[in-house]
Amino acid sequence: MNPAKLNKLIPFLREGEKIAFEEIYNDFFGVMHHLSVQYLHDQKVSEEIVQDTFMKLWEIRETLNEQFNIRNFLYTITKNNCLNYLRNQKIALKHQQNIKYLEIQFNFEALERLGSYMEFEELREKIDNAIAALPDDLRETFLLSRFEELHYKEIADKQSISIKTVEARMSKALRILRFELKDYVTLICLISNFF
Amino acid sequence: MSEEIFSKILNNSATELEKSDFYKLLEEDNALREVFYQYKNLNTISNFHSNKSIQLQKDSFKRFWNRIKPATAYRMADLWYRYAAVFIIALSLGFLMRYQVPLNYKVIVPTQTITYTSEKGSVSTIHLEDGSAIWLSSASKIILQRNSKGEMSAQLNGEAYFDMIPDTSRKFEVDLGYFKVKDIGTKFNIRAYSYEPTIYTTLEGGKIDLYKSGDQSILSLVPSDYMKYDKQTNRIAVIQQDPSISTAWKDGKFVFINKTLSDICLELENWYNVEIIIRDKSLASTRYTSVIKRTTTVKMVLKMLALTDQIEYKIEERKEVRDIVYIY
Repeated sequence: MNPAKLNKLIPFLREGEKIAFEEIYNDFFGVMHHLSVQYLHDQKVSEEIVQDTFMKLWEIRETLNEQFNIRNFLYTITKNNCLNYLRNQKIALKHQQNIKYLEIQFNFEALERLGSYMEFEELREKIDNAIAALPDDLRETFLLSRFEELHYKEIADKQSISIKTVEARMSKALRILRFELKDYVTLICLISNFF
Repeated sequence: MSEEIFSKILNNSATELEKSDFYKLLEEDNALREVFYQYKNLNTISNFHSNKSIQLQKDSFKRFWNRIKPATAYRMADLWYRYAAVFIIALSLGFLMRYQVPLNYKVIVPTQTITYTSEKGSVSTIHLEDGSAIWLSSASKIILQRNSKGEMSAQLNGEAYFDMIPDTSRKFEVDLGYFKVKDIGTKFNIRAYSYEPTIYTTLEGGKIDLYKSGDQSILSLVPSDYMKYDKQTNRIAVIQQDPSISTAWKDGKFVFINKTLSDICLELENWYNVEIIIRDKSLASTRYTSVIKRTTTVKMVLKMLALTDQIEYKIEERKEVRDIVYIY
């Protein structure tokens, strides 16, 4: 949803109109849910965390004004909710020193380093743009691998090309992406799991 | 460490053993840890499209809304002051006097025609020379005519309350197109909006006679008579009803006795100058009984209705044209 449309919803949010909340919810649920699943590895808990985020928005609805940045708010609250949850988990597992504890510890620290919503959006946009700018055939193959999580064999069948071609396209796509996103070049080699 | 393990960790698809090896490695290697954090975050950002379940989202919203629902029923309508109906006693918004010169008459007969209109959301009062008064309801128009003999007639589109001083020498009749009402010093209410299929006449005091055409009275009403005239079938029904229900509007009240939501909405539309759309058609025939001050806001009225039933509403503000209220 673009910022102009979001702003138009603000008076309705302030009034507690269901339709306005539903629109915001539909628009952000996916992103916020994905965010928490990445660090919590728990679908159910993540849903609750996102609900709590929207609960916060509900609680402060009357104070909303047109300058209010809803996206930033939802992102920050979700991130904080996740951090709190991980912190509590850590405390619960503290004396067990098991793998779960380490996983939570590392995810917690990674999440702490996740930038502001601005940076987050910026990078997302860069990646999206870079992918969109790929030649059609490369992009199709890349997206099938990346977002539908298909194996090379499945992609080859789906696109009626050989596995060799899939591999060639993937490495070419990655080469382009690495170049386009060279500011993040140390990282980009891993954003797709093609190794 | 293989990049494959790295990928599996990021995708949460590594086995317990792989996780164990990997996390132990991270624990020892500070530099690797920092790299992991970056990868982890970049991975999160880069694959946002992969997780979209519309159904989950819909169900989730439902649960969310149920959580806050108890709070919604009692929320205050503290805004929307622009809907506050200012109770204006607006006098003669339209004033017109003209002399007609019928071509086929040699003698000029001076007649006086005065048109009064009442805007949406206001009630006007018209005072006649003899002390009689006419209240004109929201979105109503009345044309008063006086001929050379001093006989008065009125044409009404809308709702009006007549408080006529008894005077046998005066002749006053209201022409509703379908029939005429002749008064003999009375208090009566007529509701005859052109878009409504029924004309309602209520007698509060005195006596009125109804005429179709000519001088033959078809019906006389006595106080507390409430007459409904069906425009389509020309049928007349008279029942007994407390006249204060029909005349409540002039005292600044809405009185709904066993009225359907669609009827109520028509009244609200008229008074608050909004357009109301009932999205859920099954709600249209739900009946309500309530007395509400007209000076309140349309939001408050909807809120009161929502208290007794599971209706929800949304108001869409529009510039220059009237706002729309959706009920669902």
